[in-house]
Amino acid sequence: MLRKIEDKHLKVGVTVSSIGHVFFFTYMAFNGVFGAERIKPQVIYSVTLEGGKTLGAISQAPKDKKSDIAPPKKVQEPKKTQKEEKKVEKKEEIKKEQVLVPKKEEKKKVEDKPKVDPKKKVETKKNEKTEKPIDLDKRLQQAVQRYTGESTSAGGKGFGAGRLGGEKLGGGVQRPPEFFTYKQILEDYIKTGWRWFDPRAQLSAQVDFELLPDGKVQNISLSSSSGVTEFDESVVRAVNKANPVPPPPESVYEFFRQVRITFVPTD
Amino acid sequence: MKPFRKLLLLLVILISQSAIAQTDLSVKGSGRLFPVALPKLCISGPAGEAANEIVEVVTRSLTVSGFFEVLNPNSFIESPSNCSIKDGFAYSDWSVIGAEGLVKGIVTASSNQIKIQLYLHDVQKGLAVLGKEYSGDLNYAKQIGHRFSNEIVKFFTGEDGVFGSQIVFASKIGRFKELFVLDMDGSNIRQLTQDRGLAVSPSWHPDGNKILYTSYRNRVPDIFEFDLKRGSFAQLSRGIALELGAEYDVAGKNILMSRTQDGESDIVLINHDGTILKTLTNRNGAIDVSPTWSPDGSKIAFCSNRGGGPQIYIMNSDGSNSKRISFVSSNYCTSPAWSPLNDKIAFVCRADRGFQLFVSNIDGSDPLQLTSNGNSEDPSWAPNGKYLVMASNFGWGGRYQLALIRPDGTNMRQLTHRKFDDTQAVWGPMPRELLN
Repeated sequence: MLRKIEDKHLKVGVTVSSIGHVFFFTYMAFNGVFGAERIKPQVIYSVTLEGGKTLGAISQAPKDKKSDIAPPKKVQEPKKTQKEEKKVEKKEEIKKEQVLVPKKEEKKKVEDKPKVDPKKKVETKKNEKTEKPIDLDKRLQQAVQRYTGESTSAGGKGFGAGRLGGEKLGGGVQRPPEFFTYKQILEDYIKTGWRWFDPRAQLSAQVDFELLPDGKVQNISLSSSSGVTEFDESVVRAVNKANPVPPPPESVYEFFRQVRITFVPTD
Repeated sequence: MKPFRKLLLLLVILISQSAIAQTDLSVKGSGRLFPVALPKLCISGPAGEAANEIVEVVTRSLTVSGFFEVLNPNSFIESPSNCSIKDGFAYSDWSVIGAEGLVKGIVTASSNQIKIQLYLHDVQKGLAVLGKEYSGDLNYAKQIGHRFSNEIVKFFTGEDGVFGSQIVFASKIGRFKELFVLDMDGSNIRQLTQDRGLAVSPSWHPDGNKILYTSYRNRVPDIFEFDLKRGSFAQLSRGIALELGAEYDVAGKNILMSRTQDGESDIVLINHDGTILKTLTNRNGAIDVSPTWSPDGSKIAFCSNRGGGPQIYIMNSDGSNSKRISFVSSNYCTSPAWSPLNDKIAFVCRADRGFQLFVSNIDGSDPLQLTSNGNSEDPSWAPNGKYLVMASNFGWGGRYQLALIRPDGTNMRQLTHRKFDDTQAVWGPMPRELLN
């Protein structure tokens, strides 16, 4: 069989294969393994209360409920206790906003801050393009065009593959604006029904589920436990309570077939 | 070149497909109140009163905890005549009104006995998560209500409930101060002493049936013991020394207190008949007052002015190894209270133009100021270490009223609504019959 294949074809095959590999690794290098986004929400940024010097990421909340006792430290003055705390909370907020979708109430604060992750801008100000970096804006538009199949010369309808060659970034999955809109809707919808009594608990749990095109949620499972049964129960209840969720736009349904939610009680 | 592009595109699509296999969402910040539905309990026999009382007690308990929203019965869809309490009813009737928890039950009564079956349902899961049957004397309805309320709290929060525990406090009535006791949900206030003098600084016997206090009824302050079951009191110490802040040890045998004589105040340990067993602080000319035990009885926290202004110190129970733990840049700190979880100490310091409540670790690290308006005094921990009761005069017409607060400063709520100054609240232990 091999002999039947002409040299020309073999060459083409090898070239395609090597280009493909190069592309694949470039993609991985620029976008992280299958999208860095998946990893991010699993990280909770937490701050020890004194001085906020140690901004660290922990992947799991402490298992022992009693362990919210902070380690001994230099004692502060009473007024500082609160001020410092506020300062720390602010820092924490900033850090967190980079990975987590801001809530409506936080919009004000978001506007005050000079440094904002461009991705988040897309999420919060879906229709305002003025503040976005031009490059991103352009790419987003291109992505939408590609996505709607207007300008793709090959492949017909596909999910926004980035431009090949030429540009600095090889290519990647461009999420259409509807993606961010619906993501926000889903987060808000589930958050509305979530009840947990202690907003200061340093806990985090994850729930996986499958979303059907009509908004039904199925195969709800706890993928990462907080170590506190009652907290885990509360987040599973929240997803159950939200079922069915508002149906996703057909155009972005593919993105939401499999969903993982990270629940953190602190605002 | 064309086939190249096609292949590459295919590759890209393949990669992108795997990349979007899962989308990550994140939800930060939850609602705080668990919505619970408490439909009327079904009855059989002369049980109407008991059934109503149970619902009333559970409603009040859950509400005062600050973590539950008891849903308005007017919103209920299910017919009140549906007496299926374990299954055989539609969970959708309850999920549609937003309930997460649902309590259903039947009370069966004969002439003087009741039997109560109660079920707690997880509405979203659609199953009964807890079922209990209680039986007993007809007038146990209230205790059963408390017990089941504690179960509900445990299920949703994981915390031990404190419903059914009591709080003793001193109330200023005219020129006098008398002792009162009330349920932790703010109900059922009863007057204990009729000294027509000053009855102050109460504390509980570990069994919850007796209260130690200082009374000036004989002009000289002495230690008395009030028996809650009998409603009578007995004098424990006699003499010309000023004795204050008595507190039983863990075994309920010996008594810790401060004793002032010749202008010198020290912490002493006495036995039940008033004999001094040991003086725990040096006769160093300093004022040492407000002693309180650590939960295991191995240490004592107290207030002393040995370093200048009054500050909080801790020492071993034999009086050794004392060290200061309050460092909150206040020149006046007092009223230490040791958490039953042995992880925190609450105390009061002068700050923000008043006395404010602080909570720190046992070694004094990580102090947190809980209040900042008016005055808040006399903290005392709930048996589960998750609440503090205090006397506060913020926003209540300048009068001291009792209030509950979480040790992280959240969830403050007023407990008494009286026209007297209520102070010196001390939280009692969980009654033995309420421990499951």
